[in-house]
Amino acid sequence: MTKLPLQLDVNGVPYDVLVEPDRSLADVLRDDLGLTGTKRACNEGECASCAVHLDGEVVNSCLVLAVQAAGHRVTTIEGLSVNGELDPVQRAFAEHFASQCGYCTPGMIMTAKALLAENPKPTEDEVRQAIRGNLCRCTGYAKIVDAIMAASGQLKVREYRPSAHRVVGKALPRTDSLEKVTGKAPYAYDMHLPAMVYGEILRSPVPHARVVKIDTSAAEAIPGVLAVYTQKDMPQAKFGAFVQDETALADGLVRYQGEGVAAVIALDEATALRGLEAIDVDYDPLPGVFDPEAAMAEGAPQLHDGAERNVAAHNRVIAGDIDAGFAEADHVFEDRFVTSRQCHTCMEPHAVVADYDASGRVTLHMSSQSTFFDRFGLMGIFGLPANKIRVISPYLGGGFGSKSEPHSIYVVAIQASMKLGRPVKMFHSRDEEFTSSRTRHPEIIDIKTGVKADGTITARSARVILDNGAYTSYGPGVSLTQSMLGGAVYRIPAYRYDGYTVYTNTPFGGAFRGFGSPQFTFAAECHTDMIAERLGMDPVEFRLKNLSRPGDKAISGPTLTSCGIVDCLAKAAEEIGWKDKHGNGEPGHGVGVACGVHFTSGKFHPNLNADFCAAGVKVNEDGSVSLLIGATEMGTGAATTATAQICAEELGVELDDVDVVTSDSETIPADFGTYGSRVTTLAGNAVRDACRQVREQLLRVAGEALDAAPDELELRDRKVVVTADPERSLALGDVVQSSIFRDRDGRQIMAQAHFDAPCDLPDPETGVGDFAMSYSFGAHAVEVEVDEETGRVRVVDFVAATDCGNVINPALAESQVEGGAAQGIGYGLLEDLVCEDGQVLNPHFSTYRIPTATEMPPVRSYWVETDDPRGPYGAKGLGEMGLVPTAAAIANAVYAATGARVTRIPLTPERVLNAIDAVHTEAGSQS
Amino acid sequence: MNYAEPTTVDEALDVLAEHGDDAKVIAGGQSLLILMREGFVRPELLVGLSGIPALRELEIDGAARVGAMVTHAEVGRDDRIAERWPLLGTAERSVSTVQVRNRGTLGGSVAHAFPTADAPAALIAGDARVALASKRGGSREVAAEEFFVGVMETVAEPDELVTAITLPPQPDGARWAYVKYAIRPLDFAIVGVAARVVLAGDGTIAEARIGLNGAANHTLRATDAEAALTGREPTPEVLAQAGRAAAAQSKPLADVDGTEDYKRRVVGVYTTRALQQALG
Repeated sequence: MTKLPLQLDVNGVPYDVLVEPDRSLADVLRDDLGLTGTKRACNEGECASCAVHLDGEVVNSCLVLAVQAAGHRVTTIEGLSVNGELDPVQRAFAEHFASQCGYCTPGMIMTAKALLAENPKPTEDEVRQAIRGNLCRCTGYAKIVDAIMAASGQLKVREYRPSAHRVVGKALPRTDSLEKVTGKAPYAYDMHLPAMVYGEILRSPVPHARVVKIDTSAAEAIPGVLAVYTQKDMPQAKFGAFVQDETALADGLVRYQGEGVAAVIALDEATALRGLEAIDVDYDPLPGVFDPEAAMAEGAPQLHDGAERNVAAHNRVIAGDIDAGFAEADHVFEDRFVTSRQCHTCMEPHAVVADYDASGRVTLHMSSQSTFFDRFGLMGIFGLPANKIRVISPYLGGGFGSKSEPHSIYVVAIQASMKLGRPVKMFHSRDEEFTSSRTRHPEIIDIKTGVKADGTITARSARVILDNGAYTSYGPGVSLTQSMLGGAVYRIPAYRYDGYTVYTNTPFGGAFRGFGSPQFTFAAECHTDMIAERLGMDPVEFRLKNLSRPGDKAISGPTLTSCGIVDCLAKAAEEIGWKDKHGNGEPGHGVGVACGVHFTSGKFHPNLNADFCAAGVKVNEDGSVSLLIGATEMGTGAATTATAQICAEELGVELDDVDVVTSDSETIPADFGTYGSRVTTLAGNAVRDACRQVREQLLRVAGEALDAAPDELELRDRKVVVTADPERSLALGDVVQSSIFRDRDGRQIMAQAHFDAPCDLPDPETGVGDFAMSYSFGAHAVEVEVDEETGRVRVVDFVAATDCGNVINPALAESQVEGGAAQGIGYGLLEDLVCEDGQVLNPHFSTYRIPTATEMPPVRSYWVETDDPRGPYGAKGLGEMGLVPTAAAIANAVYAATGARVTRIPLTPERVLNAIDAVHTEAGSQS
Repeated sequence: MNYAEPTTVDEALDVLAEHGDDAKVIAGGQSLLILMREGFVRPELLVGLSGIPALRELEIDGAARVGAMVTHAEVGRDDRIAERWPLLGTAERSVSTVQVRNRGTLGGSVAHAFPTADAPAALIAGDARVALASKRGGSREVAAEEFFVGVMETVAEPDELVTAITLPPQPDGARWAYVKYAIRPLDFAIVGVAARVVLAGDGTIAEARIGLNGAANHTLRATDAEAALTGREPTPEVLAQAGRAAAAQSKPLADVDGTEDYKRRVVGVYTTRALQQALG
């Protein structure tokens, strides 16, 4: 392709570049000019992460050719702040918590900036319409809309409840916000190393086939192609968190459409992609099985040896006398529910740069939620010692569970770097994110409950089929977690859970925010409403009668050290206007509620009897504090801000005094990482412990100088102070200097701590156990509006009442609930990766739809703070709770609005309309 | 792939005449670049139109002539369009996202002929014509309702360029509505209905023109619905009948958004709603 010489005017600077005519402006900005604040997330104009200004108008730079931009003024996020002075829109985003993972932030800011230039005082609806093309997966858009309204001078200041503490419990700004609003925050996807080359994977177009022959010769002959690999070039050890059934590339069989078959490494991305097209693969198609129930039938095609009837795992809980429980019931109700294949859709695709050096060490810059687990997994695959694999996880552009295990691009990139001796970068395209990363497991749930005439539950059983997809990943852990939590919301005297994780020839499931709870809760909470209806009881009253109480030992094992679900439900029902609206709303409107529980991390792997986080705290010679956190910053703010608040509180300093270093496997203590709603609580406890050790060190050293016993001293105002005589004090910096320099005994003021959560593995026979240190609860109440002629549902009001113990940062906590609500609304109404005979039909943001700013109602968030005895400052896990009950609340509201019960998510317009038709048909036949 | 950027329409036509099927014209590129990235379109020569000033003009005398490179945003915010061709203005403001409207052009969208795009229904209801030019055949105009023939298929020849969209003056007293049924506002329409209705002095419907997006493999003129309305009083039953006629005439494409039956049904619902809104 002939390259064209161009001059681009970017941020007022002329750049002379030589580019192929098909290269996008986004790629030239990022790769040639190094302006990576412009993000690439979909590369097809469907997310606006790459939004820039062209002559002052906002455009998607992935859909502008660089040649078309010549002669026009280009402004990127890097052009907004001058001499370090933030643009007012950037400042508003930082102050109003509008960034979580930060990956959508630059595009969002560029769009907001263009809106305000044209319309300085937009209404909230105009703001939502203006940013409807900018996708965000973290925030639910609430704080983004706030920030834009604030930048236009129209926001009322949000008040948060007062805190009993100095730093903890306050809505303090994120410590990473300035990096994110300027586009400077580092992500693996943006990483560039000298002499770096690019890898791409050829993916199977068929869902089940024998790979007869792969001819790579034509690809190898392309100038710029350095190597073409197949599985024979890869490590042979299979991998997988629960069942070792994965290989980096297909091992002679492809088991889903999207499975990697071969890899091309080339000097640049375009050449690698051309290489893929030149590979000739001969597939011998095999019969496939695409439905997990069909996969369990006798004679169904088998995916893996040793998995009889395609069952990869069977999880169960046997608790109480289930037969007696059902016998005691006046009524037994059984219902079936079906859930969807939801995709994480992190704005940052999975990415890695693998750099193998001559000393035999590989350094990975990787989008990893757990540098510890990823290193552990890769050690096994490559047979390398731990200290020869360094995993550095910069900021993550979203994770939601999908970045918590080795992916095939990581293995291929390492192997290629070892063979070629150069850094190798690989990342998923957007359609690979959909087909070839991980999904939430679709489930078929048959749930049965026995109740007395007065509404008392006597027994519950559930038979669940998880569609594993082609490989196992976290499937059995998902089943185990839902099995345990499924027994914890209500007081159930007898409980039985059977979960079958079943292979099919479809993209495979993995860990996804909620980890089994959203599926089971959709079923259980719709079922709960249906039982109440059949008994003629009010659904809220029925729940209040049966809900768990503080101190309960749930039938499946959890000990509820704190439990605010009764108050959560009461609050949610009150705020949505349950008494007025339930049963007598305006036509087409209905209200619905649902309750849920989720854990603070937990033990869900039979070989892993541990659940820990770690922290290191060092006070420097000027009194500033360095906090070393093992967890990664995925976007929640837990790793960078909540832990720092705890640290500042403990050491008597301000949040600004604490600098957080996260997630480099070489420098951090062993730590399981960021998943399972665990960082604030588990890492928070580790921080607290480390701070208390540091405090002892400081008081001992200062006590000698101040001639006081340690118990006469306290830390405050960046000083060690004699409590009874505050005039006598020493600044922290002076204390540290006197310790590390020679006038003392030369000791560092630093400490590290390891916090292993108090909890147990479930009993291998019964499945019963107290598998997490604490349990969080939440109730969602929604009002929906249903178009009864089309079946389209809109959520018009949303209340979330949450018990996550005591709240460490109310603005960040609220952000988790708002973002959870968006994912929950998506789960309930919009999102499903549709596989027809194993073919994925919608691997694009235009057809796999996540909520945009125009689908999100205001989310009203309330806290039931329960002061959990095990968490730091009484905190429990929060991250996942935000979406657990949402889908059921929506389905229950749709029922209230229309009389139509939809038992399958998402509630697509057609499903809702069909259900409405069925109601009318039934009514017609009865009249 | 090579890139050419002619500076006049004639130059562009020369390039197209010379390269035929190997060349592909890029207007705003909001659809073409996606097709190229997915490998569905692999031109040897890309012909950029942004250097041709004549195609950027939006001329209004009695009629409107929208040059092929006028963006959706420019049409959507033009006061003259808003006043005299409100159907088109509304449809253009419904397109996708601000980023796409700032870059994508009306001419490009028409040439791309995606059956669920917004503007085509409004063009059919507004009696618009598509101006085409080629070196071989010179200039011609095709009525919008005859221009679209299939998914991304039009009557234009490979060497023909869409140079402009023209709209005649709209009838005095015309009432209109563009209603769009989409999962999210930014999405392509499941169904988009553009209706233009003129009432006679006695309150009956003198003329109705209805364009339907999403009702078939190409944008459709709802002639059966129009016939069901003409000469009738616009009672709720007549509007419902028109909806049923539009549904019966439609043949929507099934996809992840719904089956053919479902979509046909919502064609009817939205046709009736468009008429209610136009007449309400």
